[in-house]
Amino acid sequence: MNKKLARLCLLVFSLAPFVSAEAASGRSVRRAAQLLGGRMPSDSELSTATGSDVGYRTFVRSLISSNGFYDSMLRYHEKQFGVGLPSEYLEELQRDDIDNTSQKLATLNCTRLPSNRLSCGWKNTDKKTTASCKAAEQQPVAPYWKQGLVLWVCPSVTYACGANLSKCSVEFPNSNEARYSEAGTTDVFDSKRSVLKSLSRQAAGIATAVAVENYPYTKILAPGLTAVDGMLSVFLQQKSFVDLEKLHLSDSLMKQLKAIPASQSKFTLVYTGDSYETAGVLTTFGWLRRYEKNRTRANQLYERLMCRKFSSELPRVFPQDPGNLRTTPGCSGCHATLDPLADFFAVWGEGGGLYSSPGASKQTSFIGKSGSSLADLSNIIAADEAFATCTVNHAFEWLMGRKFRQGESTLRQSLTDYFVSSTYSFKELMFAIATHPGFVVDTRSDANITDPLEQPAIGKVPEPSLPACQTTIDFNTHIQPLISQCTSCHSANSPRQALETSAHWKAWGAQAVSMMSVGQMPPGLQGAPVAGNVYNLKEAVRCWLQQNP
Amino acid sequence: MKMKVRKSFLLTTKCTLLLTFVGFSLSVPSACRFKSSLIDSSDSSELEEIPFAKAGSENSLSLAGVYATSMQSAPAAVRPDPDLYARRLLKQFRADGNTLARQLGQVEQYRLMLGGASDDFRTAPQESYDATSLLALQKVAQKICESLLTPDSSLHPGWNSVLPEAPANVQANVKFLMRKMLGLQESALNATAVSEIVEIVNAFADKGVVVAQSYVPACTAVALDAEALLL
Repeated sequence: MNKKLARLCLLVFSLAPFVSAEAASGRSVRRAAQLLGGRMPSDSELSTATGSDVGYRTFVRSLISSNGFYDSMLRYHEKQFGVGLPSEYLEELQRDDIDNTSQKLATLNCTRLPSNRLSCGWKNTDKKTTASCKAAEQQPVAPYWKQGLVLWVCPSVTYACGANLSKCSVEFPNSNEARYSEAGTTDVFDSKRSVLKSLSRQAAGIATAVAVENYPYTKILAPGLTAVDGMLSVFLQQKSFVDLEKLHLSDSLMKQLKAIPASQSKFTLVYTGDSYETAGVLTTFGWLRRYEKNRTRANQLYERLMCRKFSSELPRVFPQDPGNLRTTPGCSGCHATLDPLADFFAVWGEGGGLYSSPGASKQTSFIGKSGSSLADLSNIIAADEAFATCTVNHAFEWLMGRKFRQGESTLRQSLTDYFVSSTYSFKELMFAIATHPGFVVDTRSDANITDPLEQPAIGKVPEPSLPACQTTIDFNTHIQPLISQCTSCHSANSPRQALETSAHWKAWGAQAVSMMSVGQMPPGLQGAPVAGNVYNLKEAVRCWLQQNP
Repeated sequence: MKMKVRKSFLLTTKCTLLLTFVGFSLSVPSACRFKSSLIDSSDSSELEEIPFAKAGSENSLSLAGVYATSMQSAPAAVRPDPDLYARRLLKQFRADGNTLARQLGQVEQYRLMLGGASDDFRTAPQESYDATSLLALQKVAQKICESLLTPDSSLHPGWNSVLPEAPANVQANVKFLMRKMLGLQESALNATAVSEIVEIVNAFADKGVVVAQSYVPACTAVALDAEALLL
């Protein structure tokens, strides 16, 4: 068979020309189905979607609303964030004060017996708890990873691991099979691998849940927002074995975990209340542990969330002691921006220090906007158009298979404006690209673009259509009466930047406008303001700054 | 999932912010923090409501503006994700379950050669093909085709051959495989291409009789066809 198959290699490449040319949208239907739904379209879907423009748009809309979209987006974000964790990181989280041995977590070995009965026993036979029992003494249990499955265990196992075995680690002999088990669908299971997979995917899980639930995409960086699936829920409730203090979890999260059942295969958004030191994906365990140093964390977010790269001409000869990298020629090109950006992560320890008590925050700045916490950084990033443009870049590349070309700056801006005007609906962005006339064509081009569009500019407020400033703004008349909604926090005797005088607003007004315009400030806004006091203040300050440069 | 409705947010005038992580507290004046009025029950087993407004929906007028801005070149061919290739091919025919997981486990050894990502994602999944990944793809496709066409009762319990017709009805079976694996309608299949695949099946007849096993090379060839490899 193998020799015959080898001959096929030659034949394979001759097949392509024989496959008939598709109707213009037929190929795009298959592509949309694969990229947005993770599958090939059915015959009836092909008929409908290739039949008319409306049919195609309805088909794309159905893909975006399907379960397959969740899976596709999880994978999309997994690739965007690049977060994966080796198994050692999971071992670091286990308590080392239980029994002073290397076996921290009670592990069960499960297998199917010749009698076809699935049975689990202790992995370590030298422990007191490993005493085996007779078949007649075994008890049936319903494990947490698959509904309807029955396992048989000794009473000591039920006692130690709970009625659904969720308090112990579980292994099946075929690790490859277990690797591909989907929670809820298979008997075989590997709790360690499942937990590691969920921990690795948590950042992607937040972004995916935000996209699928159609919250503004800026919320992937929202303070106090995280996402948990069933495996993480079970893991984080194993207080006896997991050293939860190392994860710095909030009480609110711990309470809400009980509402997420082990069978929950998808990530669910969990809001834990205001927290100035968390910022959605940036403070997941995966992001902080995978990107160990604060500079790495900053560099990665600069590249992955703003599509910008640090690059600088290095000095020909590196000084032995370069001193302050932020000011040393040859180093400052990157470090003058990178190091202050890294300072936003100051409370989080680096490397293994992540598990220690958090450190003190630092007053710092990024693209001319100051702050001291990750919540501040989150606001700065979300209020900068580079974030929206970068999201458009990634979505475009995912669907189109190529980057934007130099001559497509208007298209990128047009998509960015649409994304911003939809209050950052990621679903709408995907829909806009997948239904664009350029996506639907039958032809294919080269993925290697020789004239890529430059990286997005930073420092621009994402506001596609600003109304003209028709009134002359006077600070005392138009702005002063509205600033009480800011000065309750931003006063001279608070640690926040004071916003009480016209001088304060002169210096910090632009930053305040950008935060107000996307609904980041004041806290508690439900999206970008379109009317009311916050909107009036934002517009008054914007026009005042414009009229008094 | 039941949600507990957040009744209101209260602005407090003097509050101490308890940062969400253990053991770290910082006094901060107040109104910048919102305090939830939720009852603090340690036995709570409900999720708090997400306090964010939803994003917008389709705006036909704005979308027309986007469509009016043209692209300079067509989409580029996209390689199906190497980490998901085997699962997606199998799931065109089979539901998730033990047997599917076992079959995927059997081709796991080829995943990295196929261009898949490493566990820690330090190696990102390949987005194009090289000789190694193409050869690995051939092997994986062959293994998957064997499991689909000639399932083994011990390795693939509960699975039957996916061929919809008796093996002797080569034309119908080939069209079925091509439709499912290439995502094409029967009317879109090129007659010459179908004949070529039929010839492959016939070439692997067992003593002149076409059996399910005879379809494995043809199935592999279809899985390696440009239409299935690149979208």
